[in-house]
Amino acid sequence: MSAQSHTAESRGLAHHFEDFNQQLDASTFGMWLFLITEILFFGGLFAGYALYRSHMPEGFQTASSHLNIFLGGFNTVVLIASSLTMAMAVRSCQLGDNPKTRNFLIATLFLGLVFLGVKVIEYGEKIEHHLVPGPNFDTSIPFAQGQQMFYNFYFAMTGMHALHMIIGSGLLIYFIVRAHQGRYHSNYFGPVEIMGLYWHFVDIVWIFLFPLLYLLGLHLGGH
Amino acid sequence: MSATLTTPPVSTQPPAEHRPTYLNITKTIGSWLLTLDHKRICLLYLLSIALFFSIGGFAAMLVRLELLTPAGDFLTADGYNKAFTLHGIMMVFFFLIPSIPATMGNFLVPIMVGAKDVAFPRLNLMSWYVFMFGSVLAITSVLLGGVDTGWTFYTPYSSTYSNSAVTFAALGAFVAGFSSILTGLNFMVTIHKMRAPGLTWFRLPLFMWAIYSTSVIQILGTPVVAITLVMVALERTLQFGFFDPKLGGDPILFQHLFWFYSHPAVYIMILPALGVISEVISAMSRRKVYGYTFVAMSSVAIAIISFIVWGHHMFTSGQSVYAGMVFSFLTFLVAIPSAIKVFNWLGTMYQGSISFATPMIYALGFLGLFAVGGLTGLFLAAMGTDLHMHDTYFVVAHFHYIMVGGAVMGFYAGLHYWWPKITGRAYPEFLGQVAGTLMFFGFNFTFFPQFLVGYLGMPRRYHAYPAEMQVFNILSSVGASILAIAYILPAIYLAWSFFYGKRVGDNPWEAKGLEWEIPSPPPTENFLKPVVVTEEPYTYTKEAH
Amino acid sequence: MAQQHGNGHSVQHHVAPVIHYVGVWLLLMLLTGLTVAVATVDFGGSLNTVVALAVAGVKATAVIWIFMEVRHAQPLTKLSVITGIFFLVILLVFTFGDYFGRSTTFTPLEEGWRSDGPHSVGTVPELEPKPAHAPAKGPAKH
Repeated sequence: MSAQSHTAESRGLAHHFEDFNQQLDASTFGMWLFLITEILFFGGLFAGYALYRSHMPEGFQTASSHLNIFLGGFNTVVLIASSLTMAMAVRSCQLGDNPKTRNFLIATLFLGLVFLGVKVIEYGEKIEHHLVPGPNFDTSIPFAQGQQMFYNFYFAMTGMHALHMIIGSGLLIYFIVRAHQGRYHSNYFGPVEIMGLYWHFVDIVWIFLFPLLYLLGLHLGGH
Repeated sequence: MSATLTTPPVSTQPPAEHRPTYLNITKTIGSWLLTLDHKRICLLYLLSIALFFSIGGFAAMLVRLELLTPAGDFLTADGYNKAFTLHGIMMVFFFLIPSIPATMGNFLVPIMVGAKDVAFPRLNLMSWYVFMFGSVLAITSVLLGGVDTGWTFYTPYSSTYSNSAVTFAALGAFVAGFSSILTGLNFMVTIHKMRAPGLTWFRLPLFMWAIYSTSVIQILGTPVVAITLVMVALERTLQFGFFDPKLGGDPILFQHLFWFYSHPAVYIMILPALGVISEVISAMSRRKVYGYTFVAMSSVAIAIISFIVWGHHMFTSGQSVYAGMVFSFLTFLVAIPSAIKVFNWLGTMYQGSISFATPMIYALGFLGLFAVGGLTGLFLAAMGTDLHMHDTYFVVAHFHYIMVGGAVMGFYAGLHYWWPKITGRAYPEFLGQVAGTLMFFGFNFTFFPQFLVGYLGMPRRYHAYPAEMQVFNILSSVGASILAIAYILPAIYLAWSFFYGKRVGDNPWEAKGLEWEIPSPPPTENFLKPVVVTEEPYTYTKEAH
Repeated sequence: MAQQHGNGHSVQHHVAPVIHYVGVWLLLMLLTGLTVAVATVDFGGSLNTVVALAVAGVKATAVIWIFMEVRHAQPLTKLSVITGIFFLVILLVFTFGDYFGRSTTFTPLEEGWRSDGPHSVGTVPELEPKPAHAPAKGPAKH
C-alpha cells in the first residue's frame, strides 16, 4: 500500500491487504468457495429427490401436478428480474455511482420480497389442503406415500431456498444503507459484487427447482 | 542428548517483556474475546478444544470402566450408549476436526505464507463463535439426557427409535460444521491470495500443503453432512420421512450422504497431522524433506481420493455388492499416497542428524502407530475380511490408531514443536519426553488388545461381553489409565510454562521456515519488515547440530 | 473497459455494457417460457426430465457466465465452479451406482419400496405398531 494510507483513495481497504486488487481477488475467491459449499449443500437434497423420484414416480408426478404452476412461473419471472437488477446494481457500483447502486438494490430487495410473499401464499394453500408431511398429511389421496415424499422435498428444498432468500434480503438492506451513505467508489465495490454472486446463486437454485418441482406432471394432463 | 531447546542467543531484539507481542499488546478479556488476530484466535481454540477433549476423555473413561468386567454392571445399556456417543461426538466434531487446523493452522497459515493475517480476520473470529455455539448445542443435548445414537447419527436410531436429545446434538454438529467450512475457506483464500512475493507453490512448507488439502475437504464435504443432519432434524421435529422406511424413505441413503462427508472427514483429522510430521521430522533430522513434491502431491491425492471411497463403511449395510467392489478397490488406492509419505519420511531421516527432542518422540510414535493403523485399514477395505471384522473392536482399534495414534500424536508433536514460537517460552523438556513415551506405550496398551478381541468377534457398542474376553479388556482399560496420565501431564506443564517457562530465542530448534525468522512470540503484524522469499523450504545442512 | 484509472492501485475490472445484462434477461425469460411449453409435451420415459434439466442447465450457465461474470474471471474461479459441480456429480454417480447395482430390485409400488429378495432395504422392522396413515408393506388399495 502506498504511503498515503488513510486517504479517500484507500477508503475500504483492510489493513492486511496490499491493495484493492488483492482484496477484491480474495473476497471474490472466498465467495466462490462458499458457493461451492452451497452447491453441495443443495446437492444432498437433489440426490435424495432424484432417488425417491426414480422409485416413486407416480406419487411425485401426481403431487407435482397439484402445485400452482402460475404462481411458480410468476416467481421464476420475479427472481430472474431480480437477478437483472442485481447485476445492474453491481455494474453501477463498479462505476462508483452510489445512488444508482442503491436504487437497483432496492428494486432487487422489492422483487425478493415479492417472491417470498408468493411463497407464503403457496405454503398457506398446502397447509389448508393438509399437504404438509407429518401427522396431518391427508393420506386419503392417491399415491399418498409418494406424494408425501414429494412434499418432504418440496418443503425442504423451497424452505432452504427461501431461507437463503431471507438471509439475502437482510444482507441487501445492509448494502442499501451503505450505498445510501456513499461508501463505495470505483475501486471499492467488492462487497456489492460478492453480494451479487450470492444472489445469482440463489436464482440458479430456483432455476432448477422450478422444473423439478412444478413441471413434472404437466405432460400427463396436469390438473 | 542434543534434545534440549537452545538458550536465547544474544539477540538484537529487546527481550519479549519489553517489546510489543501479540500476547502483551492488550490485556483485557474483551481484547481477547473480540480479537481479530489469528494468533490469539489460535489460543482461543486451543483452550476450547482442550475443554472438549476433557469431556470426551471423561466419557471414554466411563466406557473403559464399564468394560473392565464382562457383566454390564457399572452403566446401564442405555447409559453406556450415551457414554460412547458423547465420547464420539465430542472427540470427532469438537476436538479432532478443529484440532490442528484451528489451532496450529490458525497460528501458522498467515506466517508461513508471509502475510499479516488470514484473508478474512472477522470471519476467522466468527468461526470460533460459531464453533462455541455448536458446542453449546451439543452440551445442551447432554444436559437434556444425552444422545444414544453413536456419533454417526445413523437412521433409524436417530429418527424412529431414539427418544434422546438427538436434534440438539445433530444441530450442534451442523453448526460446528459451519465453523469448519469457514476456517477451511479462510485458509484456502489465504494460501491462494496472500502469499508473499517469491513464495511459489513449491516453496510452501509441507504443512501448508496439508492444510490446503484439508481445507478442500472441509469445503467440499461438510455441506453434504450439514444438509443430511438438517434432514434428520426435520424428520424428528416435523416428521418428514426422508429416511423412514414406513414412509417410503431409505435409511441407507442417510449412510451414503453421511459418509460422503464423514469418510473424507477422517482425512480432515489426519492430513494436518501428516503436515506437522513433515515439518517436525525435517527439522529434527536436519535434513531437507526427501521427495518434497511427492509428499506435497500425496496430500492433494489423499484429499481427492477420500471422496470416492465412502462405501467401505457400508459393506454390510445392504449396499450393492458391485458398488462395494468398486469402493473396496478405490479404498486400496488411499494406501499409495499414505505409503509415499511414510517412506519419504524414512528417507528424510536416513543419514540425518536425529535429535530425540519431545516433538521427535511424538513424531516417531506417530510413524509406528500410523503405519499400523493404515495397514489394518487395508484388512477392512477388503470386502471379505470386512464381513468378519465389521462393527467389531478391530474397527475400533483401527480408527483409533489413525485418529489417536495419528492425529492426536501429530497434534502433540506440533504443539511442542511450535510452543516456543507461540508462547516465547520453553516447556520442560524432560517431562515432555516422559509424556511422549508414556503416550506411545499407553496407546498401544489400550488399543492393541482391541485388535485381538475384535478379531475374536467382540462387537463394538455393547456394555457386556463374554467372560473369556475379559483379559483383553482389562489390558485395554489399564492402558487407558496410562494414556490419561500421558494426556494430563502435558496439559499441566504446558499451562505452567505458558506463564513461568524459561524464555527462549526466536529459533530455539535452529529450524528453517518463515515462522522461525520472526520474534517469539511474534508481534501482532507478524513480520517486522516486508517478506520476500528467495529459496525453497527445508534448506538444512546436516551438520547444524 | 468502461473506465480508465490513473493510479497503479486501481482495480482492473471489466464493466459490461447494459445490453449484455438485458440480453441475458430476455434469454432467461424466453427459456422459462420454453421450459413450461416443453413440459406439456410427453416425450416418453424420462426424456421430459432430461429436456427440463437441459433447459435449466442452459439458463444456469447464462447466469453464471454473464451475470456472475465468470467469462471475465480468473482461471481459478472457473476451476472452482467446475470443482463444485464435479464433486456433486461424484456424490450422485456413486450413490446411484449403489442403487442400480443391487441384486434385489426396487419395483416401485404406489406405496414405496418392495423387495424380491431377503436383503431388501424395504423390509420394515415390525418393532412398533404401524401408524394408520402409512401402511408399511404391500400395495395400498385406493
